[in-house]
Parts: sequence; structure tokens; C-alpha cells
Amino acid sequence: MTTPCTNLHLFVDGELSAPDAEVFRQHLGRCPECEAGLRELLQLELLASRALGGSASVAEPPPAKVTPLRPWMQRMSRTVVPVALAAGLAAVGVFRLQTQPEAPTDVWLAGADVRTLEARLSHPMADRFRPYEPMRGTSGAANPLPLRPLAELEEQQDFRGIAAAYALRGDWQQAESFLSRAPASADRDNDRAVVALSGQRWEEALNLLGGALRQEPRHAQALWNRGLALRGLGLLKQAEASFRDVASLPGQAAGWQVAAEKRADEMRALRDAEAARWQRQVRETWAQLTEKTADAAYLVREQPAVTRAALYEAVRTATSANAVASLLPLASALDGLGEGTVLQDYVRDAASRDFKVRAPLAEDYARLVKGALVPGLLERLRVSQETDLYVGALLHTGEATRDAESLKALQRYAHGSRDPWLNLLAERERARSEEASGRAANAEHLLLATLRTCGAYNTLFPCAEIN
Amino acid sequence: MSNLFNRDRRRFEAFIRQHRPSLLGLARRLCARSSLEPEDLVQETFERAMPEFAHLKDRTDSAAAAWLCTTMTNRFLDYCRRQRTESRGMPHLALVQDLAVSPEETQENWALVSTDAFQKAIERLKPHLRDAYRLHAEGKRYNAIAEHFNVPVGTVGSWLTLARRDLKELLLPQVAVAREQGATSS
Ligand SMILES: [Zn+2]
Repeated sequence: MTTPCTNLHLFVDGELSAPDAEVFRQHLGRCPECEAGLRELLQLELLASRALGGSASVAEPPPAKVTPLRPWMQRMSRTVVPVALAAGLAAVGVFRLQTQPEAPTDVWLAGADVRTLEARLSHPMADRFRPYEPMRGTSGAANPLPLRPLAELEEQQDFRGIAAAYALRGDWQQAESFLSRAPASADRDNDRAVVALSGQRWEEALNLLGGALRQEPRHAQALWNRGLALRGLGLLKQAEASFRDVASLPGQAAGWQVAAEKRADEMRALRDAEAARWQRQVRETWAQLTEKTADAAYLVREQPAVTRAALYEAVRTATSANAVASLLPLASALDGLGEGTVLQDYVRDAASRDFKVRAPLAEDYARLVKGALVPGLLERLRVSQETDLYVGALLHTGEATRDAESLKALQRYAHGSRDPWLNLLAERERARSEEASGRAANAEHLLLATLRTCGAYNTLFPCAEIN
Repeated sequence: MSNLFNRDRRRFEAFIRQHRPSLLGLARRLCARSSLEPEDLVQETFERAMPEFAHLKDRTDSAAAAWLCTTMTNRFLDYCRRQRTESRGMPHLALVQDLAVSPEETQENWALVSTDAFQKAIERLKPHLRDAYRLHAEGKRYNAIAEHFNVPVGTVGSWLTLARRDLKELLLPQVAVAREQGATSS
């Protein structure tokens, strides 16, 4: 009696009958000896075939069966493989590219009725306007890359085109590597910025776009993408301006013009809403502090930034030394979140003022905080000794962005206070004054630097206010 | 400027053209009288080679062939196990028994054998084993070889088994030597 194991050689040589071969294949699945024997034997046979030039390999007839290309490519696109190799395999494998006519426009998903990429690529075929719709869970697998047109693009050295095809499918790594082979141009920088945007590397994107726009100031895609990068950084005002620039460019698809206008409006609405929300929160908290209804521990824990802003207002609007001094525990709790004692120092200093002089000014300042116009107050505060009230009024009225002397006063006070948040606000006002003087690039530069500093304090400060 | 995409594509095409015929020959024998298509088996093997090609392209022909052989064997064994599970309607039980030689070891051993070494080894076989194995390697079936030597078909089977045993015995000591050289030179 023979066990299946003795049939290994007959099986490998294709000499078993159909039922015996079937039995042996089933046996192979559970016999470690036969598995090891099969591995060894196949290695030897392959070597023999290679060494003897043999035709254990048999002259090759054309494949009997032509497997449809589409399912295969969908299978391929799930694994990350170099497209060059896939093209090579398709060319000599059993699959016939010819059986699947490819519309070349498929490369850039021209057939889609929406676009899933928010950023704009420079390649004209990849930048046709369609309404934006964020990804709904489908990935590039639904849109496999057509290999032949891609190989042709490569032949023509259209690396930006290939990169765009990958970018549209969310394959950023491949997009980046093809872009690195494209010649330097504003278009290339724009597309590299799109890659950076995909990874939320806003500043990197902004730098690349800055380069692109220096070469071509009216580069529609770069201006659009700049809007996205600035929005990512929280610079909504600058983002709005960038989208307005796109909208004003002549000679582009009406869809892009309308979309840019809409984006700009959204940026403005978002900014207004955020500013209003911030002001409301600060006013509410300020009211709680002055009415002594505040749960200090809760405020410090849950909304330290708002509470800090409210504390300044509470100190500025207090009309007695006692009222100021009662804020000391809150100030030290807020100081405890970071380093130093700037808020406690400020409260102590304010409590030591002469309230016969300060109280009336504080009352008028309170009206300003509530949104009223108080004519002449700024000037009265400027000539008073109550510099903190003057600085508060400068911030409320925006005077420091219009008047160089006011800005200097603000900077001097912020510097002397060693209070990081006041210094950040002073920098913001400086940036705004640059912008008001028509030096938008300087302003943006300053704001970015200020934002970076602010971000370093983690959640201590409301960096959204640096805008 | 070099055209990397097409250079890679052509390299991979050449790689496939070089190895495909002998792999297909093996695949046809493995898939004989089964529902598995030899072309599919080979195609899948090259698909698996794509992510590895950056490494494979710089290795020796023997090493690349050994890698492809292991990969194809794995695909084939997967197929056998899947079929077995399906036909029995029960899940495949993991094998607890260890293989005497691991698949990696088998592959590494054969990766070190060159076609030259093989040709020398086959010259050292007993004449009837050598000739029978050559005919087999040319694609002759058992009955054709039996006719050639005027022996029963069963005898061909045992000659080929003996030829393979002797070839292994001639080649594997060289593998040990090659390994030692590799170890001392590195
Ligand atoms: Zn067995």
C-alpha cells in the first residue's frame, strides 16, 4: 500500500491521474514533510529548467485565456506598487491592455461630476471646475490609474501630469516623487504646495505658494491654495483676501470665480462669527467676575484663555482697591497654568492705584467694553497715569493700528509688563498697522511669527485672536 | 535626463521575460488536472514580486529565481489548503508540527546554486540517470522516456527520484561552502 507521500515526485511531474492529483493536493495541505519536499523539489526543477535551457518550460503559446484587465487593475491598486512595474507586467503578462480601451482623460478623472480634492492642481486637465464634495469614504481604489496613458505621459516627461493623476487619487507619496522630477516652475511649486496641504503642513505650503506667486503673481491655483493654507493657519482675513484675488482674475471658468467668491464670503462670515463668539464669552465671564458669581476653579480649568481676557477687563473696570484685590486668587490660579507671576503682579499694582482718580476712568472704560462710544476717553486715558486702561482702550478701538505713537505706547507697556499675551497682542496690532499701511506681506510675516509664538504656549492663549 | 519610469518598466519586463517560461513550465505541471490556471499562478507570483522588485533586481539570477519559486509555491499551497477547506466544509487546522527545513532556509540554500554548478553536477550523475533527467528537463513525459530506454514507466519514476537525490547531494555541500565564503568575505 502506498501512502500519498510517495506520490510527491509523480505529482510534481504531472504524472498522476486526475483523482490521484486531487487527493495529493489535499494531502499537501496537511503534510509538512510533503510541503518541505515540494519546496525543495520545485527549487531543483526550476534550476534544471534554467540550467538546461530546458523545456520543462515548454515553448510558450499565447495565453489561452484573456483575463479582463479592469478587475485586475482594481486588485492592483489596493497594493502600493510602482506603476512602472504594473505597466511592465501588463505588457508581458497574460493580460491584454488592448482589450480595455482607455480614454486618456480618465487619468485626471475627467468623467467625475464632483471633485474630491479641495486644493487646485496646476495641470489644466486636473483643474477643470466641478463642485467640491469632500471624500465620502471612497478612495482611489474606485478609480484605478490607467497605465498606458500614464506611460505615455512619462514618455513625454509630463511629470506634473502624472503627479496630478496620483494626487487626484490621494496617493501623495507618488505625487511628490513625480513632482521632484518635474522642472522648476510656479506650477510645480503650486502642486508641491497641494501635497503639503494634504498633510496639513500649512506653513510649508505657504512658503511654496509664496515662491510660485513671486514668479507668477496672478497664478489662479496658487492664490486659491494660498487661501486654503491661510485658513488652515487661522489667518481668515488673509485667506479671504486671497480668495477675493482669485475671484477677480479674468479669463477663468465662471465656476471657479463663483466658488472663490463664495469661499471669501465664508472666510469673512467665519471670522465675524469667531470674533463675536469670543467677545460674547469674554463679556459674559467679565460680568460673572464683577458680579462675583464666577466659579473660578471651573473657569480656570475649562476656559483659561477667555478667563484671562476677562480678568484684564475685570481689573480695568473695578472701581475700588478691594474689588481689584479680590481678583488676586484668580490671577494666581491663571499664573499657575504657565510660568511667572505677571497677572498677580498686575492685580497688586492695580490695587495700589489711587481710586479717586482711577474709578471715574474705570467706569467710562466699562462703557467702552460694553460696546459704547465714549468720546474723548482715549485722550483722557492717554494723559492719565492709568496706562493699563489706556492700553485696554487702544485694543478696543484699534487706535494703535492707525497711529504710530499709540502703537509705541502699547508696545512699551506690553514689554514692561513681561506679560506674554499682551506682547502677542502688541505684535498683532503692529501687523495690522503694517497691513493698514499697504504692507500686506510684512503683516502676514509678522502674524505668522506671532502665531508660532502663541502656539508654543499651547492652549494658554486664544491664538485665534491673532488674526 | 533619465526616464526612470520607463527604465523601471523595461527592467521589470526583462525580469518577467527571463523567469516566466521556466516558472510557467513548473506551474503547468502543478496545475495539471486541476481548476487552477497556470498563467494565473505565474501572474500572481509576479504581482507579489512588484513591491519587492527594488531588492530583487539587484540580486543574482539564482537568488531571484529561488525567491520566485518560493513565492509561487506559497501561492500554490494556499490554493491547495483553500480547496481542501472548501471540499471538507471545515476550517483548516493549523499545523503544529514544525517543518524539518523552513521555507526560508530552502530558498536561501537554492539561491546560492548557480546554473553553472548545476551543469557540472549533472555531468557527474550515472549516465542513465543523467540522460533520463535531461530528457525530463526537456519536457518529455514518463512514457516517452520509458520508450527511449525501453524500460517500464515505473522505472523512469525511480530513476528521476534517484537523479534528484544525487543532484541534491552534489549541490548542497557547495551551498555550505558558498555560505562559508559569504561569511568570511563579509
Ligand atoms: Zn506527505
